[in-house]
Amino acid sequence: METPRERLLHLVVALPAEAHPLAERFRLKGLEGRGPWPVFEGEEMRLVVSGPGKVAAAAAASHLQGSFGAPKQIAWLNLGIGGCGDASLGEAFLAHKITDRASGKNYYPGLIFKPPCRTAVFLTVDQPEARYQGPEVYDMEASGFFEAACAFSTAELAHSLKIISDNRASPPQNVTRKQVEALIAARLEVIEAVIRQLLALGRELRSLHRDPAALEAFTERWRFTVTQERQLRRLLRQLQAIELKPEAARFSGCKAAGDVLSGLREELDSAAAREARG
Amino acid sequence: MFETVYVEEAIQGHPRAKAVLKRLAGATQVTCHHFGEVFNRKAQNFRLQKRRRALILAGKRGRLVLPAPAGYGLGSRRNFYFSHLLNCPYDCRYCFLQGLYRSAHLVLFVNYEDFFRALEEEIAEAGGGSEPPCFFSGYDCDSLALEPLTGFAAAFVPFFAARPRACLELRTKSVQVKGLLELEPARNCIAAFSFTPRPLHERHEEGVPSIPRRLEALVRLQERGWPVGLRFDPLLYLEGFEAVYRDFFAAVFDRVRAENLHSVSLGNFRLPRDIHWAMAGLYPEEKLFAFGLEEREGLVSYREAVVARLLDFCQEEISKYVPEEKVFRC
Repeated sequence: METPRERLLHLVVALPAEAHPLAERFRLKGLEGRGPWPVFEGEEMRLVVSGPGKVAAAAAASHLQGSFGAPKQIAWLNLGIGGCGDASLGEAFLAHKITDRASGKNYYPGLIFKPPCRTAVFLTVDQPEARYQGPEVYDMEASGFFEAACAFSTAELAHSLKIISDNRASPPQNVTRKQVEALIAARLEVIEAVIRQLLALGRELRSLHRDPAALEAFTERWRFTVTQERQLRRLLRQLQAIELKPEAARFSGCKAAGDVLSGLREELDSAAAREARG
Repeated sequence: MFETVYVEEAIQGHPRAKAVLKRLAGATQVTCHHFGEVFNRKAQNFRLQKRRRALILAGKRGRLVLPAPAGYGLGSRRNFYFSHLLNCPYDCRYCFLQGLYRSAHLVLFVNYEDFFRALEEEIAEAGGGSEPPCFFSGYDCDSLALEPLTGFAAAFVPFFAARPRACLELRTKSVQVKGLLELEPARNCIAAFSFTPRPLHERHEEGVPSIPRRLEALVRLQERGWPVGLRFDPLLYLEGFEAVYRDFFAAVFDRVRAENLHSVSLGNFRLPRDIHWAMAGLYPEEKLFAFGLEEREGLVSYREAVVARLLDFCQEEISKYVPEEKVFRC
């Protein structure tokens, strides 16, 4: 069973209107006293409302990471509205490339699952854009979000999903709060499909890097330095990989953590010697 | 085959890039300035990427032909390698590429013409020396696994056939020999097939065609007159390895005509320290990396006594079928 500190998805949205349908669907509750950004939390995920813009998105993502100390295997999803000259209102797009227009820098989310919607290049701009020059999806957060998310996780687990709120026929000035809510609510199925994929990937990765079952029994009994604890974790994983179950009680004669590590190394060596003898 | 293809902007118009993109018309195309933006960036997970690898089309710049690492070769002292492809479509747990690269995506360098120029220079430099230079094409990849897409052998075999002073090794675990069968056999182009015994193949070589299918492909090439080689590298330790390897070699040499084999090479399981560390981190549950290994001079391998037993035993078994001068240790 996962502890509350292991919620494996962090959502970053710019607007409260984008957050509401998600909070309702995923039963997210507002957390009090969590700093300058509204934070919501559910069983499997957390959501932060960053405000518009790439800097705000990056800062809010960092806030979530900093406040909750999320593991490296957590998935990150930036969700919201965007504009696209050629797309229909309400269509969902996942980014396969994000270009920051101001810096010219490119980012490449790793699409390792079958996307439930079309994918596109996202162009992150600093001001709302009404002159849609290419087939890109225009947004204001993706580049900042992605750069921050990749500092905390891996590019395969960081994605940006946008629902088209404006196009050539319907400029961004016309978009109301109610419309934003309706656009997100109408695409909850696609959003949930992406979320499920990301949660599954996060869980898979997390299970590989979960602390060995016996770790706590050792760290409770002996005082390990940070380096020693890293060595302990590695030795316990190695023993686990060869199906040996190290028990802390067997080392009760050891006074110092270093002696325990030596004992565990000896166990590994004996196992190797047994196998080499055939 | 590939759902996403990244393409360097500069080579979008290259005929080979166009041909590959035409074959992968259903894939999402994403442009990039330089393949390293996708392939070499930090914050990516090799293991996750294997679920859905992308192809990256790029142009190779800098040094295209490099001296082979020490110990890599077939008797010649002038060994080089070049890589038209980085990474491999198969998933062999022991393969060092997993620890070498940050990304599991495959990079195809489409500018074969630049490789030809670089190879020509190396061959010219070798001149009429007593030892012909040998070029290895399967160091960073499988030479033939993507042949229908890359046309690598179709392009490079005629190049080497016209330069008989040099030799080319195509190293593979694939059964992609159709292209070679359509070409005239070239005496200086060796199709070298890598094998491990069945229990190890089943445990460690995901996606690799079965041993009988690969032996069939090798035999077809041999019958057509192609020089073929056998590569037993890495030799992996397992309990009762003697019986496993004895039976395995017997089965292999039952199919392969040993008398006109070009060469057999064998090498123990060894990884540079940093690469071993990266691989063990990717697969914390993998027994292969968990125990029985030790570091000697920067290389992680089995203990010396185990290496000696494994190599000596296998070499002795192979010598029952193949003359000594054709067997090389790597």
